[in-house]
Amino acid sequence: MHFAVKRSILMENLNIVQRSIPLKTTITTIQGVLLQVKNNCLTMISNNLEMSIKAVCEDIQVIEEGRVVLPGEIVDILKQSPHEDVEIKMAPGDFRTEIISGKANFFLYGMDPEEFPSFKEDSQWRKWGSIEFSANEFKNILRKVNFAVSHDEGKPSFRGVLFQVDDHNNVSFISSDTYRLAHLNILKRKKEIEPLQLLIPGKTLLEIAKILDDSDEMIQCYFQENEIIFSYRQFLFAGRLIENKFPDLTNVFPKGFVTKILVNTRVMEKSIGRASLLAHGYNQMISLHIKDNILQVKSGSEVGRMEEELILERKEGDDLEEILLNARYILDPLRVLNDEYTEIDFNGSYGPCIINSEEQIDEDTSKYRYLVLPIKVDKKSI
Amino acid sequence: MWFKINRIIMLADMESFYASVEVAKNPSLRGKPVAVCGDPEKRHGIVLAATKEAKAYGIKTGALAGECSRLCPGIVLVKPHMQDYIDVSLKVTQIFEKFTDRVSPYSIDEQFLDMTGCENLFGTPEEMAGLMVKKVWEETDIKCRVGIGENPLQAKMACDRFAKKNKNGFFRLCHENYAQYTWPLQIRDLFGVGSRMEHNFFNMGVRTIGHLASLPKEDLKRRWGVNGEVLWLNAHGIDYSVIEPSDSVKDTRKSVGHSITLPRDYRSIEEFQVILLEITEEVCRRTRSFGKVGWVVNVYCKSADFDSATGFSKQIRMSEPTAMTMDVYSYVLKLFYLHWDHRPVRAFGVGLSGLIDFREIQLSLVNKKERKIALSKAMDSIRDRYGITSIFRSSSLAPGGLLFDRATKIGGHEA
Repeated sequence: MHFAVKRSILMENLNIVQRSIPLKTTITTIQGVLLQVKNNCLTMISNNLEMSIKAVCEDIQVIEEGRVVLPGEIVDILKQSPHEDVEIKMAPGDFRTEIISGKANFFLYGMDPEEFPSFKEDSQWRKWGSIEFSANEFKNILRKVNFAVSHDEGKPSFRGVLFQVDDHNNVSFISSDTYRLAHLNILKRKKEIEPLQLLIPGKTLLEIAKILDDSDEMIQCYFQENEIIFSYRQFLFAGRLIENKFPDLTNVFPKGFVTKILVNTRVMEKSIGRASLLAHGYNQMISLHIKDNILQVKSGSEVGRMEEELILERKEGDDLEEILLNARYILDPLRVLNDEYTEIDFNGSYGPCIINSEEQIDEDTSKYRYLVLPIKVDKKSI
Repeated sequence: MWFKINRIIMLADMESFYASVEVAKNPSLRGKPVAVCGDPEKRHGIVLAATKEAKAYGIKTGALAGECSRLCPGIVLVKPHMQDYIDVSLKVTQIFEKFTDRVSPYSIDEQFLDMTGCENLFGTPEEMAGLMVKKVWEETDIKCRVGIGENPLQAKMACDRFAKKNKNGFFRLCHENYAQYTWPLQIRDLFGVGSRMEHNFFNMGVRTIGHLASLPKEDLKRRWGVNGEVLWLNAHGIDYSVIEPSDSVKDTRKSVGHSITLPRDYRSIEEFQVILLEITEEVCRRTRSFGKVGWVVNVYCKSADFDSATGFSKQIRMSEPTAMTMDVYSYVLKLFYLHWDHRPVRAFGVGLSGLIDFREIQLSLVNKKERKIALSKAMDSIRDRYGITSIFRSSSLAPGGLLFDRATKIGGHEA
């Protein structure tokens, strides 16, 4: 293998691909990036057994075809290489690879590419079921559901986002870590899709959300049985769907409310942010009180305490004595809402707190509902 | 410092404690060689304590029951009665609490006392010690020996190395006489020196405590870190620790643990699951009784091979602090499956640490946390009132369950 390439072009691809190089693994054969030069194309693949990322780049000058697995250090080497022109050349036979840039020469001990897990062939997954979104739409969706995904290995069913399409072409995305639940619903989406139900790993979606921009470029999603592949620009992301069943939580949203408020989104976000500075304990506890048209935000820890009053735009129903919430659980949704004002429902001190929002994306209406459960404290001891 | 209070710290040690309690219970045994030892059939068949008459025949703590009869044909072997020992130990604490509020049990037969400031009530430290020995003898028929020092280390050294050999049962060390008495002693006589450190010191040419004291502190610190420094301080009779009143233990505890040596080697997964659940339940129950929850769970496992004892002690941080048995148990099993080397197992232990006060529950959509907490609470109060076998998990009836066996025992011996 021997080729020449511009550093910036290579980095643009490797910066994405390196995200699925395993950090710690006992399997040495996957601890790196597979580089393959064939048909005037450079293909880069990484695989951490949970997710695999592939990038294809045509902007190279091929001298000789071939393939090799290079250790993760290749990314940093290129980052710091002295010259924009880079030449990568593998010694025939022993995978030792030379990286030449300006007057700097690196030798990397490469590994046998035969041991590296292969990426599904295009011809295979192109035949799977598929659905597509524009980059900005999908980015907006992920922003609203990704943060509620659980990272707890003990809760496998909650480590993903449930993507569902019903018979009436209602598309929904649901995520929950059991303490809160984010539900985004696109009612009667104009573009027809087959009914489906996929539980997509949160980690894969997190990486995808990072590279999506606000363009109209399309991102395609291909799926089959327990596999899923996203295709965006020159990148492919492959993951395994979570096989555990996501429990039916549609009935957790209460029918009515006890207290309903309308509050300025950014004002509330900033106030909760300030309260979180002194939030209490590992539950990041803060308290909210509603009286007449005033929302009082309070927090206190071993270092000190704070309180702040916000004037509500509108209030319906009863006053609220006190509700204790994890500051982060209320801050996360406020951060991603674009509306000037946000509607929040409360159901007493121990009932769920719900944020409602509606947004027009292209010709579709998306309804967003977020529910968080409060913290219960026994003043004596539980 | 221009002004310094010399503290008066004492360590009281009960002579041949278990054996003495047995003799006190049955005066006809007085003057005879008596050894307390466990049931030879159940692997507890080793000597836990022996009277000085038995020790004269060469019987040592830890010897096998069979060996005792060989060394001393007339020996009286008594089964342990753990509840009696605990009762007597508590009684001794109560006696000491009449002298000072700062009594700290160090083990079942050793207690530290801080007698600073009691001089005007009870006289000189020697007079106090004499009074304590007398009181304990009068009220329990047990001989106690008292080491006196200016800190817990000096008291421990005074007790172990001198008071035990002293006729009146007490001995006093202080910074003026510490070197004179302890420096000629062998290095292994220093508190904190085990067989491994003894070996290390021998290789350095250190034979006595005095040798160690003469080395530069920095050298020891460089070689063995904090431990080296502590041993050097021990050799000089320096110790900055204080004796806390005993009831403060409950609030400041940072971990709860429990371990069991199995009556026979366990081999099957089913048996492991049963006993690990029992141990986890015990640890969680105790954690709950302190009003705490823990972040970190630890599993200890010792394999059965005598020649090359293998095993592991591993820990994991849970996703949220808890003291719910089944939540902790899932992590216990995870750790066990991850680290177990597939050999038969001789001993198990489970610990919960990173304890914090349990005051708040983040409500959850799925696992009915509040109901689980209420259920545990109900089970705990039933057990507190009617005993640990009054309500139990049915798995304890399966092979491997030791709940009923343990219910009648304390510390693995008959109550």
